Amino acid sequence: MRAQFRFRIRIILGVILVVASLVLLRLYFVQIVYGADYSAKADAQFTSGDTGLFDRGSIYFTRKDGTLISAATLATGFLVALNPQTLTDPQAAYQAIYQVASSTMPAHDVFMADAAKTQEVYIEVAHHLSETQGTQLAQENIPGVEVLRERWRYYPGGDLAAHSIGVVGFGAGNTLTGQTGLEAQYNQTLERSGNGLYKNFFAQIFSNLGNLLVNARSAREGDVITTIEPEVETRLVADIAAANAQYTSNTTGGIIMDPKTGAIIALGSYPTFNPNDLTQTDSSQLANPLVEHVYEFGSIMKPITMASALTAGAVQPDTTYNDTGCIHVDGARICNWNYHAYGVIPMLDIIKYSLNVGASFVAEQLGQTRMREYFTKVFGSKTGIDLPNESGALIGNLFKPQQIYYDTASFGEGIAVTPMQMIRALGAVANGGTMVTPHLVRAIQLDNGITRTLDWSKTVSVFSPAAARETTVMMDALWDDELAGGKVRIPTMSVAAKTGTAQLPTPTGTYYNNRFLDSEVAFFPSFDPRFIILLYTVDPKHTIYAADSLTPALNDLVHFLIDYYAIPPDRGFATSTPAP
Amino acid sequence: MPTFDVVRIASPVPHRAPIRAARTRYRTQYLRARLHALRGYLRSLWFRLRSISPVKAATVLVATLAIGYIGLIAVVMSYAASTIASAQNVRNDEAQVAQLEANYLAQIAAITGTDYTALGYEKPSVIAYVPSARATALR
Repeated sequence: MRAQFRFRIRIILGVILVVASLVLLRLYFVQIVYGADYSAKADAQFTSGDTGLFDRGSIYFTRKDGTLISAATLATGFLVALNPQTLTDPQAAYQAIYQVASSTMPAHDVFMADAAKTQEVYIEVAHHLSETQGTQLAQENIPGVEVLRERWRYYPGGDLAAHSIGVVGFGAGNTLTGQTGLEAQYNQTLERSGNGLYKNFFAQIFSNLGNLLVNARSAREGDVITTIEPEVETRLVADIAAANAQYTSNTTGGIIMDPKTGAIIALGSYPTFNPNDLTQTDSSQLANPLVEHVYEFGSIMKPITMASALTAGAVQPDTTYNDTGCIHVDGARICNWNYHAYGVIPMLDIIKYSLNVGASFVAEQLGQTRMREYFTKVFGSKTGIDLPNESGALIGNLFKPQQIYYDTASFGEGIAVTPMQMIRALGAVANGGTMVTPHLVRAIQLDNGITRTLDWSKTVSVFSPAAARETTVMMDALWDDELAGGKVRIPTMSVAAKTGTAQLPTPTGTYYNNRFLDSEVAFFPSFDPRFIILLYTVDPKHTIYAADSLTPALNDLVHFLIDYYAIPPDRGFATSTPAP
Repeated sequence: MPTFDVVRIASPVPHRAPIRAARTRYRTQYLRARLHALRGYLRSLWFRLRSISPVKAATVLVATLAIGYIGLIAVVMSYAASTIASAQNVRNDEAQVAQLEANYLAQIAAITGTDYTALGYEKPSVIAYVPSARATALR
């Protein structure tokens, strides 16, 4: 072959190779770099939109017999929309719509203004019509009035556990998503991504083969089943609302938990809101104070101090000290709540009579290092509850050198924790020294029929079983002998309890002399508890002590739970008990 | 001592080797005949297909695919429409259940908020616990 001919062939070959390389490079960009975008575009050509109706999974309460009751579900009905371009008689349309939807439609002048917007083709004027109302209006066939199917989020319990169930809202986008509570925490499970109907059968096969074989959505989307018992929740909410109203408190809250598993049976905070109608609700009310707000709980911290000291061996149950009523520490004065001096008394009396001087003694015996270690173990991390925006505790004072901070922390002042952290810590005393993980959701019921049980078995051992038992004995003596003068004692049921009355902090870092946070905790039966209850009320008026403000509500809840769950007596069953 | 001659007696059963050979010959001939017939049939089929116009064949194929395609679309869209209708019925039923649940929870709230003293009820003065009697099989 002639050399010139060979040279030309080589040039053409080179050009072909260069073009092929460019094509391969382009293929790389199309297939790899922009592959997802092109795939979505291609998919969009062959899928029709879904029905456009709001769809979302449900959240359930669980009754004690296992029946599921909806806490959040969907309601279906109709909405009314105007087409001003085809609306012939706005006044007649207004009259017809007003007859069926007077509560949700706008005022007459607003309606007429909407009807006059002839450049628009779709203006919604009324929502949440019932099946009967929507069908009746649709049958009238009013020109320019469209009656369309509508679905919306509905909470059958109203304000029941509203802070924890949460609400949906548009947020930053144009779709309804969970904004607070479990609605936000489990939004990925509850949201429905639409069915994406395919117009082209072959397109569905070849572009969505994976979903035909394994539907990933049905393995993720489902309903949320909570541990909240609706009747216990109703009782708790009623009691805290009554206490809040009686003492005109700023806020009152309560939690009922199984101390062995961490399952939350009931929780609530007052004032609350109705998620079915947020028009009158300030957005600040949507925050859940049970996990997002921290409080100095006062003397209900003493069992934690005592259990820590007993576990460390710093004190024994029969250790005594001389209670002088008041002590001076680092230039500050610490006194008992009643300024009484009790003389030489054992550790039991510190809990029974709620003695600040005694708690300070225990803190000093424990020592700063060990007290910091125990309190960090108990309060240093969040509880891990399945609610959003959980706050951590403020225990920075336990890292300072001055003893006054440890002494005040021993009776719950100077450190602030969330109510959920507090009940979790006291639950360790009830549970033989082991801290559980509080949780609201026990299972997810997936759309493919499988029920996935969530694992909350992670525990932290903080106190020794012996220390927890000895502390329980002290708290049991408080309920039986001291609280309400011994009138709340139940001969057939042991109850361990502690009250707390803490001065509220001022904005400048000091404390009010006349404003308090009252708190009270109880668990029963004392030595094999089924429930632990924590109540608190912030700034109650006309009262000071938790023994006055919260004991009636706590006592009512204890008796209700005993009756509702038929908890058998754990002592003196042959005897009788006075009515509550 | 008497001697005996070995005498071969003719067996009443025919020998097996010739029978097998005959059977094999018969099978081979049969298969050859069938193959020959098949070849003839295929050849005639080929001649018949060659006589069909490619345009007609392509037209028939396209028509079959188009009808099948339209049919599949109709089936898919009908299925989708019935699925949506069923889903809406389910949602309607769930909404009715939700209303019943709301009524139930409202009843619970009303019972909880009832002032029994105002209705004339009195709290028990004494509550006594006693060991339960042995349960019968009917309980």
